[in-house]
Amino acid sequence: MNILYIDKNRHEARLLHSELLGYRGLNWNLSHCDDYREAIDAIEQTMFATILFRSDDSFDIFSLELREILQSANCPPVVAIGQALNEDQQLRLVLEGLDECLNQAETTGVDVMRRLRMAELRRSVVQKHAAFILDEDDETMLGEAFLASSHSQRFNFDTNNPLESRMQVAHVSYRTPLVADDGNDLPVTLNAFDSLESLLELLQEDACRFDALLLEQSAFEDASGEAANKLIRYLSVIPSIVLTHEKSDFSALSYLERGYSDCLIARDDSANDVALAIRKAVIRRRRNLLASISKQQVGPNVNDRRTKVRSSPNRRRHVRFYFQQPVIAIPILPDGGPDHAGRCEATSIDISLRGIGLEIPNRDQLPRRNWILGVNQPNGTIGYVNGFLRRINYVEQGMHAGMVFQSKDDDFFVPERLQPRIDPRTKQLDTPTSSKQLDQWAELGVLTKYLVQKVRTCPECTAVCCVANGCSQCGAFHLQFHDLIHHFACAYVGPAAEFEHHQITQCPKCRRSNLVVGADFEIIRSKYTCLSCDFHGDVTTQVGCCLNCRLRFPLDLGPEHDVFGYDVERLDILAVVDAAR
Amino acid sequence: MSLDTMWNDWTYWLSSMPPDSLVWLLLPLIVFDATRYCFAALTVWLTDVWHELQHTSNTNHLARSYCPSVSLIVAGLNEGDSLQGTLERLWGTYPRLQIIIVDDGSTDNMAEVARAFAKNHQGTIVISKKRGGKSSGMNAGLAYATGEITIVLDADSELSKSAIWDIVQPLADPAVGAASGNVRVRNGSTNLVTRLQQYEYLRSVFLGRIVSSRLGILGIVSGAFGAFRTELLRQMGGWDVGPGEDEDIVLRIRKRGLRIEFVPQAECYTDAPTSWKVLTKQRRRWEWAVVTFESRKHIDMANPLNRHFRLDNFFLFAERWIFNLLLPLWFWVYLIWLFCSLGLSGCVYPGLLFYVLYVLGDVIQLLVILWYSPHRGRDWRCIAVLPIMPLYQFYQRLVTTLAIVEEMLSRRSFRDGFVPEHVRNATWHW
Repeated sequence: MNILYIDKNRHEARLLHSELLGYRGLNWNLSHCDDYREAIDAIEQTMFATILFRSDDSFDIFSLELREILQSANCPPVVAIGQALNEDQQLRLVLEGLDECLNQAETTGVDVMRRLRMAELRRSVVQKHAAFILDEDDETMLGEAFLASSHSQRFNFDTNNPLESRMQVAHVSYRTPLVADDGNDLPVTLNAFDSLESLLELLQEDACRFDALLLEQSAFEDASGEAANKLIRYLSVIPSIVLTHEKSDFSALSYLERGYSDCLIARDDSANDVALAIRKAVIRRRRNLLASISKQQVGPNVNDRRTKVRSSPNRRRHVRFYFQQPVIAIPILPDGGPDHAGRCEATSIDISLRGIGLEIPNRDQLPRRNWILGVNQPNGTIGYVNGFLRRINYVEQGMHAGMVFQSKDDDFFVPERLQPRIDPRTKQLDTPTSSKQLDQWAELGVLTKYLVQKVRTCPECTAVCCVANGCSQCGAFHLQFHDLIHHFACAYVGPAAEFEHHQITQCPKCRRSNLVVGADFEIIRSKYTCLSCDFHGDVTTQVGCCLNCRLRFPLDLGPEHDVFGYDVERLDILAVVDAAR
Repeated sequence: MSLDTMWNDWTYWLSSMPPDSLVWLLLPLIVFDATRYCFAALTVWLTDVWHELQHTSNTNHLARSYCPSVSLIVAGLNEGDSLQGTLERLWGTYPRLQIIIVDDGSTDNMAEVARAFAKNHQGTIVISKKRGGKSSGMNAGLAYATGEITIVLDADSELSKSAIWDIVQPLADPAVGAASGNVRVRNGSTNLVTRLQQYEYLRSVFLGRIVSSRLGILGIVSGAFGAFRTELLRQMGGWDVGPGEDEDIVLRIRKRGLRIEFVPQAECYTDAPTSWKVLTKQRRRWEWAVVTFESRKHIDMANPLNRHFRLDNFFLFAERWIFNLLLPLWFWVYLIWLFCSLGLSGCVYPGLLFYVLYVLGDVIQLLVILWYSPHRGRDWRCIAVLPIMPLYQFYQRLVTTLAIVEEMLSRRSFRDGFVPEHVRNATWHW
């Protein structure tokens, strides 16, 4: 197992390395990096089984560095060790993609190695389960193999309440930061079962009945191989944690191999360990679920920004560069207009392909979320970009704001918002964003306004109309045109069909054949018949038909409107970052 | 020499002329001009007077019982100024009327005027096409004609209130293929040129066609105003390339054994040329057609061995050959002979004699015209131009001779701008 160990503190790294050397259960190799940026390059160049990240920094820096590691291409599962991470922080990191998060004080070298191996197994098992189809013939064999590999020693198992004699976990609560009820502690309700079969009966009725399964190892010993086998089917739906009293990690790893989310051994038998394991398992499950939804591009959480970030494992990391330039920062009001009062001259601190750090002068009011930033570009022009406020640190002079460039879909300056479009509901040709707001941006010099076209609109509802040649009498479009041929030599004028004679062109009057258009005859498209009112005419009228109310009107009655489009000098982020490099 | 002396000398010369010499001198006039215009008119007039006295005449009393559907084709080029008035005046004069306006490649506002009219007058069709000549314009209109009768009308012409009613009545007879309207000069009081033409139209169109129609040798339906059976026109493929397409279509109808009728009550007022130059150009075109059609294209109608030969057609052709081809040429031969035999001074008295006789003949014709005319109060004023009519006829003879010679020698009609060049080059040069 090829492990990358990232730790700025070389002394601590050496200590941990020596501790790990005591672990004999596996052939492993540890590579050490003391700078996380170098580590990111190493991750992209070398295939590691797992990453162990340890840092003594505060949670903000810890999480920032960790996030960049997680966003690097082909990032393997990461186990992080922090100095003093509380449960919320640990869970938040797990949510952002970390496989396991540990506190250094509570962790020994063996625990770390076990967690690394479990993290690797989790990743591989998740991948396996994605394509796993249970063969009916193999059910028994699998079940027997499962039993054979399980531990023989029993927990102190009580049929009434299997957990009662061992720990009290009924008061444990957990938080799910990703869901709408973020911030509310949800109590865990433990449902006890005396056998695996009774649990399976309930799962068959509703597989999503429980948020997690907490299974004593002894439950498998009492159950049949078939029941254990059936339970495997639900492991991809419900995060499952197995409790053993085994001191070695052999048994725990074997459960992980079968698809169980986690396995606690004798060393982890405190109520807090169990509760934290449950919460991590639930969050892992939720994270994987969101990632799979994002990959499929279906479901209600498709547009969830955080989901997208994690849904692209091949995403390249974005290194920040020192970049000190004056930046025009204009907040966007909720209605899309500029917040003139909030406009300020900021100074950039650093920039990456993903965002920009700004130092904004002291401000009394709370900053808005959406901003337009005008940044000096290498070519001397000011390029504008839309960013949203990700993080704020208040400092003496004002605040340090972390702005993330908006994705294409959310970008305020996306061309779809600045170019006139036909509104599908009102059929009016206008910019999706109110032109009044865009005019304000144009007055600020952010946008350039230009005339796109002049359109005739419906005199009733000002919707755009389709224009076609219609009957000059009734305005109907259903016209039948008659082509006539004029034969020069004999002055005969008749329908074109009369001139078709055995696949040659022959005048029906003088019988002259093989006529050449232009030299011998001309085509006169002179008349139409209106199939609605039976009117005959030669010149059609331009008729407008409103796309919204279907009103038909002579085109000259429709008022003419100027339709404006807006253009923006977009910030060339690549060029700016390249210059900053 | 005073006028009295001259008058005395002329009367002396006239009284001293032996009768046989006088007959020989006046023989051409007696045989041709007097026969054609005066004697024929007088004969018809006397016949009608006889019928009038016998109360058996039906002249001027057309029963308007026949009311076919009519398609009226107005084909023109750059007639934007006059079209509106023409259309407004004829609208509502006939119940089953389809108006087809053909803009033959105008560069003025003719198409816009026509469309504006069509917008407010249901059943009106406007066809705009590239210039292809009047024949193609009328044929384009014919393609959309839905009426049983097709009437062609010049865009600068004006119809009398009952003109359409009157012109379709002869077509109730299935043996009649076409009917000619009575074309009169609208701008007769403009200048001398139009005054002379006003009388000329009365004499040759009004009176001349009454006589021709009675004799069954009417060989023309004016392009300005004429009525045709639509189905017949379709069978014939419409008009052929002009100039002279109005005469050509009538000859083709006659070939089919159908009659042509003249309807003096169906009056159409048209603008006559107001300058000698334009008048000369127009008359040359008219005279070219005599050579092109009667002497070349439809010569088979006068050939007794041909299936199209009929006696009335032969008389029609004979009349044209004699009076439109031979007489103009012979006129100049006679004039030269007169000069040669009598000398310039000797020609004065015969000239005066001819002048007096021509004026006398015109007076007789005017009296006959006034007998038939429904507008006697207006038409008698033409007497003012009678003294100079012999000179006008001399001018006409000159133009006719010129036209005949140039058409016979060089087929001048196929180089005329009446038809656009691409059509002239493609058509047959008869």
